[in-house]
Amino acid sequence: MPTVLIVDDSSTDRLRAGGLLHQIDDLNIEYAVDGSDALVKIELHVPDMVITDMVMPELNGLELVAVMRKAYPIVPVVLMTSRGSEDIAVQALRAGASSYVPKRMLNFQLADTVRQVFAVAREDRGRSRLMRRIVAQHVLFAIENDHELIASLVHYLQDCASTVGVCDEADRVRTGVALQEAITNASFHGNLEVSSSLREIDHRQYYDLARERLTQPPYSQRLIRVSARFSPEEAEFCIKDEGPGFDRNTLPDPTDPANLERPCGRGLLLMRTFMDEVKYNAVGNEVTMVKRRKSSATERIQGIAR
Amino acid sequence: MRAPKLFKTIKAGPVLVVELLGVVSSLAGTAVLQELEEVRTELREGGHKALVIDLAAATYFGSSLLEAIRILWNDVSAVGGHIALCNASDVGREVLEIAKFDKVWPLVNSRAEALRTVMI
Repeated sequence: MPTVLIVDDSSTDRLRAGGLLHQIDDLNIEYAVDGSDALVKIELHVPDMVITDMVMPELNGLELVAVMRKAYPIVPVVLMTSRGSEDIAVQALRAGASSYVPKRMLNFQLADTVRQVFAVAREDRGRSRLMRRIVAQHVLFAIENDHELIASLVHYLQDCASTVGVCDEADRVRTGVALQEAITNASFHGNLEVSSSLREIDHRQYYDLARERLTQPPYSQRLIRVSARFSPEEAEFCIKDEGPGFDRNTLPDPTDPANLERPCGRGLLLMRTFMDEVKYNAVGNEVTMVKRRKSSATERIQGIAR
Repeated sequence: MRAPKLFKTIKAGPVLVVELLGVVSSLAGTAVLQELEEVRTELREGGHKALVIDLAAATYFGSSLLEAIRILWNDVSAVGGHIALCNASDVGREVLEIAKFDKVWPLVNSRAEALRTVMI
């Protein structure tokens, strides 16, 4: 029987919400008096859903959502909002809460919202189980130098790496940063041939030139080709531009204090740090990056350290 | 004036607080650059010598946001002012450390602490 944990420092609102959920069959309802009490109860027994007030004395709804996203990412959190807590509720939704119900509408909306969120969570869990059974996946993209397309591609690749189990949440983010840097480099420095040295003079000139070249052959005709292979053990990303290539040895060391004010080389540094392997072809217009799943031994050690 | 999408500014006495409203994955969009220029204008015209950048909503970022902060840092340094960053996510903090910017930009845990840091 699924369990819902209702978190509210007002006993009236807590019991009211609980009472409204009795109309859903086979539901176990637990209560917590604030965010801190909720975390204690969740540690003892992880619920299938958390419904929380936003403004509470100990740990508020936003802080509770942040902890839940990190420690219990698959448990959906529904917010109960009241007048004056809208801003904090928006932040909580951005931070990963699943849905919200205004307190004045609890009678009409709470049970339906809980049903809907349960249905979506079931679907997500099913998809997640299926994705973890992928043995190998290979995708190929050829995209224009369009920063919105690049952002969407990064999200897609992050999701793939995460669903096959190569990345946990933190590594998913790190992988996204490295991919964003690599694909942006392929677009700006590779296909559009805009040099970072121009950015040292004036960043506006750098972006103006890039924009100009987006419509100017041969730059405008060049594509970014991305090949990604996923397995439960690793994700390999190969990003190739159609520019003349570059010699990465000419880049200044961005961590040298003398270069801190210069805008060059930081993307490559982040790629090298966040990926397990980064290598370029001889011409310098193709980079291959590998992200490996942490070994269970590493995970255990990190778990102990946490 | 249209509503900001990425950089919201708030005046806190002599300090200009720049609140990130989301992830800045690229400065390539005209709108992002335009917003950055608006912050620079506000910094200059308001005579602010202290700048706080609140990263709470930027769950992650890479070299693009570092570049935007570096530009604002140059502006504020040029008038002898100070900058402080606050509320970075774990990965955001990691990015700042990798790029060694944590050595030059004070990185603290709350906006109140950042305001105290730049007011000294």
